[in-house]
Amino acid sequence: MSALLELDRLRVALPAREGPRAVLRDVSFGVAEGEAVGLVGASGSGKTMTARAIVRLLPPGAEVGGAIRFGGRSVLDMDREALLRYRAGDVAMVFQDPRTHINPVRRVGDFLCEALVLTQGMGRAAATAKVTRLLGETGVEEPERRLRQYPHELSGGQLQRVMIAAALACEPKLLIADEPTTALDVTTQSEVMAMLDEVRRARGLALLFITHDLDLAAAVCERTVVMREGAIVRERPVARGDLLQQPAQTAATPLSESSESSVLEVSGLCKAFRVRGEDGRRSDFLAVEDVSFAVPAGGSLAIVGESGSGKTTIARMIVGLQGPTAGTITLLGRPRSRPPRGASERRIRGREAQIVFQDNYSSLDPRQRVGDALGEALDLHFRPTPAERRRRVAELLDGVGLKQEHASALPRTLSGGERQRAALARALAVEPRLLVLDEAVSSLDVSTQAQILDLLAAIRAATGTAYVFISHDLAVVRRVSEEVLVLRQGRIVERGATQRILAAPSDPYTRLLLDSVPRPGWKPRRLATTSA
Amino acid sequence: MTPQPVRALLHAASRNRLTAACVVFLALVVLVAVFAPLLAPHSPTEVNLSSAYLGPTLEHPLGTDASGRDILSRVMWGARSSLLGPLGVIALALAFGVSIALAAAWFGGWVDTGISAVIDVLFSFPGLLLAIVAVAVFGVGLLAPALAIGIAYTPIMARIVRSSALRERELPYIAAASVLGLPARRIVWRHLLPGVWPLIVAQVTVMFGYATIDLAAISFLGLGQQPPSSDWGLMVAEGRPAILAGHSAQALYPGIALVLVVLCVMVLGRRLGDRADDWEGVAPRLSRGRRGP
Repeated sequence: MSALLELDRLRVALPAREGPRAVLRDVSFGVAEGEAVGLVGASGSGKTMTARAIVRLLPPGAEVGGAIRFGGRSVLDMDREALLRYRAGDVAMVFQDPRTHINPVRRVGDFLCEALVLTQGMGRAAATAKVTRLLGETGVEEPERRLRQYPHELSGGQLQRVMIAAALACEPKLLIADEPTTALDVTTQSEVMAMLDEVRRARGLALLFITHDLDLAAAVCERTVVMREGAIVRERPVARGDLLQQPAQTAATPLSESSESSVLEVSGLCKAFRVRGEDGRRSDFLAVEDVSFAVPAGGSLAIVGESGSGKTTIARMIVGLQGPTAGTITLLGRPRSRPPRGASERRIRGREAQIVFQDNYSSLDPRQRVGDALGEALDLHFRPTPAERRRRVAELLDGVGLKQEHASALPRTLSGGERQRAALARALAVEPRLLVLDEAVSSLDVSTQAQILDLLAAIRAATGTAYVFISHDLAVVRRVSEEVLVLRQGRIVERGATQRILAAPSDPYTRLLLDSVPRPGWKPRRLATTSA
Repeated sequence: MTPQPVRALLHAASRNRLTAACVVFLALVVLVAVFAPLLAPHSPTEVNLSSAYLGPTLEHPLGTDASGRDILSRVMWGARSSLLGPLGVIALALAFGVSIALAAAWFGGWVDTGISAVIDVLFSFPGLLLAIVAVAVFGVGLLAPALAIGIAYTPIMARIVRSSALRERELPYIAAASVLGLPARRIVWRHLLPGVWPLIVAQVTVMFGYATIDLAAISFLGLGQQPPSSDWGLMVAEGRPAILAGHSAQALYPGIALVLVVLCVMVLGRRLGDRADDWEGVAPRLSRGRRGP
């Protein structure tokens, strides 16, 4: 096999206030014709920058050194004409979030045909025929109908298949896929990866697969290259499967069904949303349907489900950000079915339950320093003296593994993991009896996820705060919860002890979720039970 | 309320000569307005018919008008009402527009529907006509037109702030503050308002420019400041007949002052608007809502 793509000591530096900042340091690797190579690394490791360098889409002002050769030609030395031909015909790219990479006001068919008509000189009819065939190949059902639809009418999985079809349209030799399934549910990820693998093998296409998930890369690639801090390293990073392999945590408190010791009791919870159907008529959509559960004092319950399963709606109802349509939520024996009356009731409810969100950037006021955010929470609930307040802020920072100097930091200067720790510290500042964690680790790197999960376990052991841990990822659940509730389309499909469910799921949907989590030796599969 | 707009402006000025020139010019105008009694070489109202229509001399650098008054002194004094009027307009539009917009965004539901309806109704009031009605009711001067134009600008401010505040309100940090148990008043003033502040500042500068022009137009029509005031709009109106007689200075200089002030304010407004994103370093927000790293 000859090398199709070759990176030779590629260096990239981006302009920064203090002078050029090196983001890629002597990156060298190759991709042979028809070979699949995985490029694995945490966020900020330079994997996306490498991909952008290969198609010469670097940010303005970037300084580039070293060489990139494609089929023997130097990519960095190409003139405008050659670069256009290279981008049009030789390489293609698929990105993480299909929704932001497709024009929302144009039909899918127009989007797909555009490149063929413009760069390959195809007629409209021939182009349509070709993209219809490609959509069939990438597993999009009813391709003719999809061509007439707009992007918002397609699901995330379907849209990513459309993007892959678009990438294949001009018959490239190399496909660069940058985290193509990260924005998708695990089951959809499995299906899309299986399809991508099949299509690639059938066409003899070379693939550069960029991901933060080592096991996922190992499942579809012949070889993996690991990056850290802009350079290629030999060591093996923390993999997602490692989280699954961890020994299950022993229950801190025995599970109990009795309501005597429950922190939280939810019974017959329903939430309906008004939606306007295709015919323009209004109807009620049940996001949560007859959900009942209880969390014992100091216990931890995980609610697992894919997007649209109603898990976030449940989280918001528990902390009072939304009201239930029917059913009751009882926290520490007090019902929460109506909004709080007056300032003192707001404060009391604040002491009962707190929440940490997925989006760590927007969870903190961008104008408020971390110490001030913690101080604001302390002032509201405890009215401490300035000295007490300083001491508590220091304790809280210490408790979530932040340094004292982080107190004066603005959220934007922190990393994602640090921001999530700060949000956690703010929630813990009021010493809540229940903490709702809504996908609180989902936007973090696998290794950061592991650290935060360990931290959560330690905090629960130390303070006895009960958790409702909401996640789409069964793999992380084992570390924090002794009981799991699997949710699908607003209904509970399975519940029980975490260990039992992970070892022997009884519901086919739970099994499907579990089988879709990449781990060593895992292969993506096309699944019969759901349609992506 | 926050030094950030000032810092952002100074930063922009250090990068761009045009911005710097605008900042310096406006600062000068404000200084002249404040210290007009000390700086003006002559009284703005002292009539001396024997020295009418003098050309530029050392004693009268911009010449004199039909009544022999020193034009430079009149332009300097005129800066006061020409700046004060628009400031009043802005204060009014800010106070009403921002409060109803924040109320609409915070409460949502029928409160938002009601406020939005009121905003739509206010939008149908043409500013100048409203000002003429106000003058008819309250009499000529600075107050009535400023009040009327302020009311006419309120819905513009309200609509812009509302849409931005609605977006900001949906962010998790507002939800987190609410779960924490913070009183609504504090969340709105300490978290929601600062979130839309950059936009308000940019909007205020643009409005200042428009308000200056609208008030000058009202003075020009004879409904605003009355003689012997040296309001710029009024000076242009009074100088108009003299232009035909070949004495253009009386209308020209206040006209130039008006154009320059409005131009500078507009330039700064656009700069602030362009740079609003820089204030909080909006870049990491682009990754909002992604699930993967």
